[in-house]
Amino acid sequence: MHPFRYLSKARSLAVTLAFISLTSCHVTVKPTTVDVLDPVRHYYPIIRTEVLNMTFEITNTGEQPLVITDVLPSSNAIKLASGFPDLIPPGKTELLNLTYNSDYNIGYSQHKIRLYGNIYPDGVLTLTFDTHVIRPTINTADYEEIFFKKLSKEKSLVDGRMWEKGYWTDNQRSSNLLE
Amino acid sequence: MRYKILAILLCLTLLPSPARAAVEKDEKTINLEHGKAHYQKEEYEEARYYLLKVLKEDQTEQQALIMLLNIEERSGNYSTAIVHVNTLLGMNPYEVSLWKKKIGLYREMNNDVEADRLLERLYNIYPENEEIQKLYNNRLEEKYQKLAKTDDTNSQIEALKSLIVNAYAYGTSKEDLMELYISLANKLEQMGRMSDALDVISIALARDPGNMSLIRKKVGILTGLGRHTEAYSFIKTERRRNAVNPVLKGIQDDIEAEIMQQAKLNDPYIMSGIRWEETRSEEALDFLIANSINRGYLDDAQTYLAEARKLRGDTPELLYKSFVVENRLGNKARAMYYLRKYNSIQPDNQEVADLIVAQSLATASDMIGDERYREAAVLLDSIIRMNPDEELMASARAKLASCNAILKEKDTKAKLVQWEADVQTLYKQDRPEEVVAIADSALAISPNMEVVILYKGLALEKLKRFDEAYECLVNYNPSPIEVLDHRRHLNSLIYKRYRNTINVEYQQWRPGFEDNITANASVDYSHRFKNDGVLTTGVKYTARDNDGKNFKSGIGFQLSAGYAFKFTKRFSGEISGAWSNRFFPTLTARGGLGWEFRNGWSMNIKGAYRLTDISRFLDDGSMETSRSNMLNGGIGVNKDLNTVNLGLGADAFLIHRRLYFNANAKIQYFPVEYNRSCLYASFGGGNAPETEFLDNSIPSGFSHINTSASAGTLFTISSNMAVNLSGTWYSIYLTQETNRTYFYVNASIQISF
Repeated sequence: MHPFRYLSKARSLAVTLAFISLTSCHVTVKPTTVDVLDPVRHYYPIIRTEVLNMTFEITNTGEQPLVITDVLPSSNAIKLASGFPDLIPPGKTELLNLTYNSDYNIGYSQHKIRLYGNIYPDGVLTLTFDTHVIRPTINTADYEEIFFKKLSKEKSLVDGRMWEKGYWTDNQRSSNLLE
Repeated sequence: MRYKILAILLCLTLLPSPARAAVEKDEKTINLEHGKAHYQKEEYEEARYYLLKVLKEDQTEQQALIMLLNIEERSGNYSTAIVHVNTLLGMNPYEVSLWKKKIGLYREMNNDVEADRLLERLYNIYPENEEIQKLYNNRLEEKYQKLAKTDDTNSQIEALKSLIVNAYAYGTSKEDLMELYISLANKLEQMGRMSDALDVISIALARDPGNMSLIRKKVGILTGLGRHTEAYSFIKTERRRNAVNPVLKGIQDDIEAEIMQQAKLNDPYIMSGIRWEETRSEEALDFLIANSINRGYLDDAQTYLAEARKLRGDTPELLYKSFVVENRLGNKARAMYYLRKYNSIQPDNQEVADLIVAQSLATASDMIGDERYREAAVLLDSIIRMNPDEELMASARAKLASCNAILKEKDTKAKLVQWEADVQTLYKQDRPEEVVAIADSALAISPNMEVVILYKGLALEKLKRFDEAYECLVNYNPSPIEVLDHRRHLNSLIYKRYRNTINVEYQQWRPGFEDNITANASVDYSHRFKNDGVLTTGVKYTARDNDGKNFKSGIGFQLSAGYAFKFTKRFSGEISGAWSNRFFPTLTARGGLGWEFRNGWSMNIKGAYRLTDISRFLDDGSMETSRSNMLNGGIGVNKDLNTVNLGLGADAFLIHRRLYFNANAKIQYFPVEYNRSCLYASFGGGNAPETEFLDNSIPSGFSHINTSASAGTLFTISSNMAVNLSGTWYSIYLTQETNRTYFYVNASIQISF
């Protein structure tokens, strides 16, 4: 059996026991469905040393409360912002804010963030993103450099058009824009 | 496990803060152990979970980082693995194994640019590390090999440069290094960067002086750039360093040949030739004609002049140039052809007319040199008719005179040669008079023609003009092997020249049935007149005893005279007569004619009358003597085969109106040429004896079988003396019981003077 299932159940059991010890009520938490906006993302290239800020919308689409036991980025390059709740009630959406430190990579980089909890069906939700980390131009910055530098300062990262969000998904972008 | 985690969670919930810190520390350890356990079991999902939880607690946990690095690498999450490597590098800066790992991860991601950059960086950091050197060099080689399959020559050049730079540090062998230099030079050549290629080879040569591949390459580049002189100097310098190397000598020879080839190509004559071939430029053609004549390229000149005449026709200028070229080539006829053509266009041009005469004179001189005197004479005659200036006329006349003299001499020589052949042919055809006539003509011009002398002498001999024959042949100089024969021949001619001969003869005979020898002796004298008529006179003597039966005793003699005529060369005749007192025919009269045919055949007929006492045997063996008139006629045929002489003869006798016959055959053998010495034998038979027996009054048989066999020899002692000796066995078959046999011996001496 997958470990995080045990953990998920254990965590649920622990919460339940705590709840019983405090309230003397008995509640059972079952797996719930979760929806994530754009769980697989391809970010535009970023200049090395810059930070890529990412926000994933996590929506509990099931009947049961979503108890998130662990959010584990695949490496130290990804930092989880504080404030992401351990529990998302049914029908509610929470924002998972992450930052990717591009110092660690050069060229194509792909990373994953794994969320563990009573998530249907496997108890784990994997978010994937990739980007190209590029060296800064020495003399003249390309337009994109300037544009995205500005964009990161001005725009919210959860709405707007594709380029305003700073990434694309597999359904949004064809291989050749001119087609 | 489940209860263990539960317990921990409970503790987490219930324990105060300092205690919880201790628990957290324990939790990290527990997670690490879990992670490690799963890692060892290759349960990477579970391992990752626990190890990431460790990292969540402590980002610097190296064990977790290392395991996560391996898990992500094996899971194909290379960029995540790179983050772990970098995290580790933050704690272990410039750790070689981590650099290598990172380079490997970038390679897995096909990011060779970053991998190469990292490798180069690593090589810069650790230039002495052999493993990194090897890694770096292998990578450079790998890059070059990959590039070599593409058309990117620039990148290939850069890769080769990197390889060469690294080769010194890496310790690449000299041979491999020189190969790299040559490859780099080849690539630079491909890009047209000849000067750079030359620099590269020069650098390489400085590092490996005398390397034949580099020398060849440098020479190749220099000659390719047309810098042949520089290439030649370079190879000479190299040869000073290594004089015995045959390859260098070969390269030097090649350069020399190429320099010559280059010089040829720079020759305006060659260029004009090419231009003419390609553009048919008349300007080029004129240049080619002028230069080919000046340079003495006469074959070329012929060709170009022919082309020019095709283009412009027979202009005087082209005709004159054609004349000059053909004249120089020695084609006199062609030269004259052009000159005459020129003359036909400009008949008033005196210079051309004089040139024709001079040319004709030169041709005539050549003909004289080639012994073509007749043609030369015709040509010189035509020159004289052209009435040239005095000097040329004098020259032509002198040459013509010389020609005519030579022709005359040649004609005479030819005539003599022809006559020499003719005398031999005519002699073999048995035409001696013509031989003598031609020989006289030939000897009048050239008295020392040995063959003519010989055949004239032989012809004269054949004509029986022995004096002349002798006088002629005495001047003949035989070859050493002919000397003996010639001497004999002369001796025979001396004999034949004698006009007087005395023959003294002794004969004796005896019958077989009794010992009774009877003998005769005779002396003859003959004289040959100038007209070849021969007068013969003689006297025969015998003395016999009375035998009481047939013969009475007494002395008998016979006087005779005769004359032989020579009517023509081949036709002769003779008459003779004799008178005797006893024993011999009382009267004898003879006459005969003879013919000599060609090929050694001859024939004679004869007739005779005798009044004689014929003693003949009867059937009983007794002898009867009766006086009789006997008529005799005969015919003879003779064949002369040089060393052998064959003769057949037949006689008929008419006595007392009865006819008798006798026939005989004779063979003579002459063992020595030009010598009348011989051996001979004869056999005869018939119902009558041979006339010889009757003339010598030997008893004979008629109407009985007469046979005779004789043999003898004539031996020449000297040219004027010969001895004859012969014996005859004569038998008369009378009846079956009775036979009469006689043995007859004859000896004589001939003396000529």
